[in-house]
Amino acid sequence: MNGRITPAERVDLAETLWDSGRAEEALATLAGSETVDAQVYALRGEIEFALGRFQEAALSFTALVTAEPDCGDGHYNLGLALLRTAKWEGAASALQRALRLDRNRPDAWAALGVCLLESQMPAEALTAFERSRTHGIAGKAPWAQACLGRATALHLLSRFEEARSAYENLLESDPAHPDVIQNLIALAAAAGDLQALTHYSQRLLALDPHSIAALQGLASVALYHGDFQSLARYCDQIMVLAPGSLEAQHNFSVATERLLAGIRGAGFNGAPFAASPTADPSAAGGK
Amino acid sequence: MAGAVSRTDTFSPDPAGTRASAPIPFRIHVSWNSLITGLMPAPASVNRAETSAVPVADWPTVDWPDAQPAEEPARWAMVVPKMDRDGSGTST
Repeated sequence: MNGRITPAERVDLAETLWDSGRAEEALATLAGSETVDAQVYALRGEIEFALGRFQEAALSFTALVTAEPDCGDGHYNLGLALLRTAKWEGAASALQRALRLDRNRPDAWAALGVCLLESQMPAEALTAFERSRTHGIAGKAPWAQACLGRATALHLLSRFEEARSAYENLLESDPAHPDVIQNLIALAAAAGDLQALTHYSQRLLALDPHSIAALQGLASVALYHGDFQSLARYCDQIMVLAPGSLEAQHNFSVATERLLAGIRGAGFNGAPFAASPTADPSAAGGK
Repeated sequence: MAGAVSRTDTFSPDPAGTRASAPIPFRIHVSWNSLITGLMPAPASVNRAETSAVPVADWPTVDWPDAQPAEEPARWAMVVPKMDRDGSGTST
């Protein structure tokens, strides 16, 4: 039946199916033609993206911008699809094309900022997130992303006080934001602020009992106080969640050795915290 | 090479054989996962009157490079915009 309907009719039918939650049928409808047009590419990419098929979505959006080179949304969507498949270089190129067509797109600036964060270019990322905020509207997407991106870039630039202030502003609007709380834990660790480290670690652990960052924060506090029993317990939990954690393995051994040797309350004289911010290796797209 | 420890070796908490290992600090990572997952596609507005059909056989095939390793930032300089201090300008 699909062989004789026009691309526009095909898109209308697919949109109806998509709106009613029948994604696979919508995709099958769009795929049933020998010729397709930009509308087909656009809708197909949108559905594939929603289904988490980011590589396929990237191909559809590539076809869209090939057919319609001035489609800014197409370039932006292509950038996002590539971002989700950790193709930072291709994503940045697509987002720059979107910005050449419309330099005031807050969404494209925010996404470009993510590419730059992932590429360990926090200064450039900060500029991109600032641009996103400049052109965005407070409270509307992607405002929150731009604010978190800005705070994260400041953090990675070791501008800790500005980062802390930005994170705390974000917490006011979203008190349970896991990234924000995790980054406040990292900030507290960098500053050696035990009170904040304990507070934010416990707060994150209450929200997510499997948070490795929260357990690391509490383990750091236990390490500082020479509480080897707690240290061993937190390290054990970290090893269950992240079997490759060398710090947890090592510190678990240290804690059990100290407990067996009967050394209690001796404290730890070295620096229990890593001083410089490190990026989460699991943050690399594709999630 | 005797005594060398490669990065892939099993981690030994006490390579010197002593029983007095010192604790090592935890590295707590900065996270921005929600940035990536929070950005959503824009419904692409395509002018139906102006779009032209393209044969499926002519669809482009693209092979994007994989993500650059963190150790190789230099290649990024080719594609990342050189932005002015005030944030203006996206030309490479």
